[in-house]
Amino acid sequence: MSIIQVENLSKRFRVARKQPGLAGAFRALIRPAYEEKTAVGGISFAVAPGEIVGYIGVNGAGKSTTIKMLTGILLPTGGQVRVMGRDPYRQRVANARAIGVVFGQRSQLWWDLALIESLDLLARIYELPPARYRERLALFSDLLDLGDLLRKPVRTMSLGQKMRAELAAALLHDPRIVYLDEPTIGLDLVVKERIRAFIRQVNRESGTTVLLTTHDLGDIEDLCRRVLIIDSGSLLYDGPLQAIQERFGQHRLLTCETTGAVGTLALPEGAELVEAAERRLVVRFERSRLTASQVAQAIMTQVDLVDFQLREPDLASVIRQIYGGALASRRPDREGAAL
Amino acid sequence: MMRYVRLYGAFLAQHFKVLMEHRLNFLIATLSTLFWQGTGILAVWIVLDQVPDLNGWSKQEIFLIYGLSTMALGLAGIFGVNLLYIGQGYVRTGRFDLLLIRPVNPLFHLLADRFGQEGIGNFLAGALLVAYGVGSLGLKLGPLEWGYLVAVALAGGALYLALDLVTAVAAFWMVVATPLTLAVNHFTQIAAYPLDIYKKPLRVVMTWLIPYSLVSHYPAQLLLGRPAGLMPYALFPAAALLCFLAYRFWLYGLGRYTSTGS
Amino acid sequence: MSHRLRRHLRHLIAYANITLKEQTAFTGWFWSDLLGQVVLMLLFSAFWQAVYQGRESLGGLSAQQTLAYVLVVNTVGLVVRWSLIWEFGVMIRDGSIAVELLRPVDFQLRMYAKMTTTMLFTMGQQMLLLGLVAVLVLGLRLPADPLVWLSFLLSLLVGNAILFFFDWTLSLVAFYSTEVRGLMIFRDGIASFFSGFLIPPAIMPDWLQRVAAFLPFGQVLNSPAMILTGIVPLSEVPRILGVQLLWLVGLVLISRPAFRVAIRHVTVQGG
Repeated sequence: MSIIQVENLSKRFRVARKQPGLAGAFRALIRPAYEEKTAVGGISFAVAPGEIVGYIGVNGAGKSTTIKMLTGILLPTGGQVRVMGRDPYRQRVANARAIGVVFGQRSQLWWDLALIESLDLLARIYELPPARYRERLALFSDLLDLGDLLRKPVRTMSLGQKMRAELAAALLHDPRIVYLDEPTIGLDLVVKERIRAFIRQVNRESGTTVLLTTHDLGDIEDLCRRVLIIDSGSLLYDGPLQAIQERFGQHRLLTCETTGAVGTLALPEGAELVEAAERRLVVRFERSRLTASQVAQAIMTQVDLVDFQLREPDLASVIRQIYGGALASRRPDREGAAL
Repeated sequence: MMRYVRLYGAFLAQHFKVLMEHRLNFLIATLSTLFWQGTGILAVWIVLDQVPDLNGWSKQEIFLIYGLSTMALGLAGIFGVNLLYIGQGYVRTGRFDLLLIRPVNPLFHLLADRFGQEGIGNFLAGALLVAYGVGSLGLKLGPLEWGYLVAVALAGGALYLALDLVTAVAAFWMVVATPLTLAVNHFTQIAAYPLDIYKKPLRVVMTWLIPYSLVSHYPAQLLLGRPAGLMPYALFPAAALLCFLAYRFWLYGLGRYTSTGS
Repeated sequence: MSHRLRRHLRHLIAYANITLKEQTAFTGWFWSDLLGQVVLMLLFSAFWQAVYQGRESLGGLSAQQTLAYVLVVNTVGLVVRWSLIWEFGVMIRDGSIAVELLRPVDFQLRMYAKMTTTMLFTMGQQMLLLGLVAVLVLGLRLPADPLVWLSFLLSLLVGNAILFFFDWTLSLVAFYSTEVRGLMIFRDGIASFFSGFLIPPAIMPDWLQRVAAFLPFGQVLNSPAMILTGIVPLSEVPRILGVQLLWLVGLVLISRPAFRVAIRHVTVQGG
């Protein structure tokens, strides 16, 4: 039985079209022209209880719109969404009791209050019995090392501390599903590790289902076994992370600025030319087989380099490649559990 | 219902904790609001001292009306100040979504999220004026009249709050609705004086359209023993009706917000 | 010497132009403020008409004079509300004050230019609309004599400058403390009261009028209003303008060294 069931879900917006020039602005005032924008166009997927699912896509792909529909904030234009058997929009309060949310950029805590006071208030809002509240508080103090943090007001916290506080707040009432939006953004590696460990532990011990939207592929690698990729409102991929990893995770991109145009370029085994412009080269190579300096050296013997840059494959190019590559399919296959 | 009362109490307790931490600020805020009211009142006082009456209303009687209006303004400010912030503080920043994530009524959460300390100064000023009016005129108020007075204060606050809510809902369309709310709030100053000094059109507006005067003028008539028919009681159904209409309008706006996102 | 002055002037004008472009008139705030002022005008109009029922004069002013005074004061009363202290606070908090001080043109003069252009254009639009309401709806009658108008505008301009330099000195508190809201409201209240915005000073008891004379606020609003409404004859104008200029010079002389002291305090603090 899926805990989240999404069928043919879509969301269309009417956006007022901006008309150019002064006459256009005037016209827009009298008779505004609208155009329809499809943020999400008929996606379907299901999440089983206890899964940690990654939900990735570039900005504007429709991630936050989907999440908003799942959490009951936004009314879908078409299709159906069932969370724990309920319509999250029509049964907002009942649904809200059993979910937790972390919005990476926005804090749900009260700015001026000490963390403990924010949590006290949340316990009241979620109607947590005092004994249970104390229990959960002790648990999180331990797992997230809250200790002194409890006395600090949110506005004095560092980014890492804030995130730990947010997680405690979101999970305090032991929700069955937690939606994490960019939970590790802006954090240094050590803190990221800690947060990921925490999420894994909560998922393991409480069976909390996690839907993770992030740009950080490290998050995905560490936490998710399954990944949904959305682009331009459509679901491009719904399947195991492994497949993507095998295809894209192993690569690095080397971008070189050259002094002049390049003719044919001989590259070592494991490296391939992805892009060649007038004074630019982009080479993709497998991390396991070559080092960046090997590739750079190979290039330098053939062309003069002005500058070069090493990059992990960014999400946009990964998605572009998926879209144009072998994994794309209209009805994504889902390995594993039956629906 | 009880749950919400207790919950509001929990919110209030937290707000007070923060206020007490910045005790000086709180004191200054209250004093400055009192001062602001005070200069206005002083100006009126100086004039009224030099004239016997205004359209048949003596200075003390006028201050009774002034006080009733200001008390209601204070109460609405104490509980509903966050309505002024719905646009910039919640809709624009996306914080409004966080309210929708919680298992409580979002309007309740919005109102509970901020305590209007500035309203305390207004409420005190109003109460003092009412006390002055009652005392200086030697009005003998029995328990019924006191009960009526308290009811007027509460219903008045609710009416003022309902009107604030109606204008605040515009934030769902305009994002920033604060100018609209403040614009309508200016009419509360008109309600501070007896309706007799205004021409008919304005009297009609203040009684039936933006009915702030139901809180001040008509109740004052009753307390002063002036003939007023049933109008002094019109406040109660009006407040109830406006609260109902304002809430329906809120739900409508909320529905629109959740269908179009932001 | 005059070359430097010319350059200063050029910079000031250029700066004023930039400020103009950032003004967005006719926003929601504009209309809301406007409505608020109109409501106040309706209120005061009704109030004073009721006051004068059955009497010829109050505080030496006739009903017609008081009504005219009140309407004029409510039309141009926006000048009293400018609050520099807030801007100072913001600039200190986000540190932009350091940048501002480095700019070539004198900071104070620049702020003055900015404030004046704001007043002339954004507030000016409001004032014009309010004036229209006052004349068309509320029956305000103003003298036709162009000399009166000229004196009025001059007095208003000087009065505005007086308020600017006074506020400047007062706003220096922002350099010493971040809690300025109370002071703002306090100053707003006192300014409203003693400038004639609430009631004509002529109607106040003698002792209050003496207090008012010590404060600059009367120079800002009361003086020009008295001129425009004809309550004081043209012959009095030179005296009134003279007094205003004295206030102006005095405040300019105080504000500049005071500013230097405050700046030193901030830079010593660091940040």
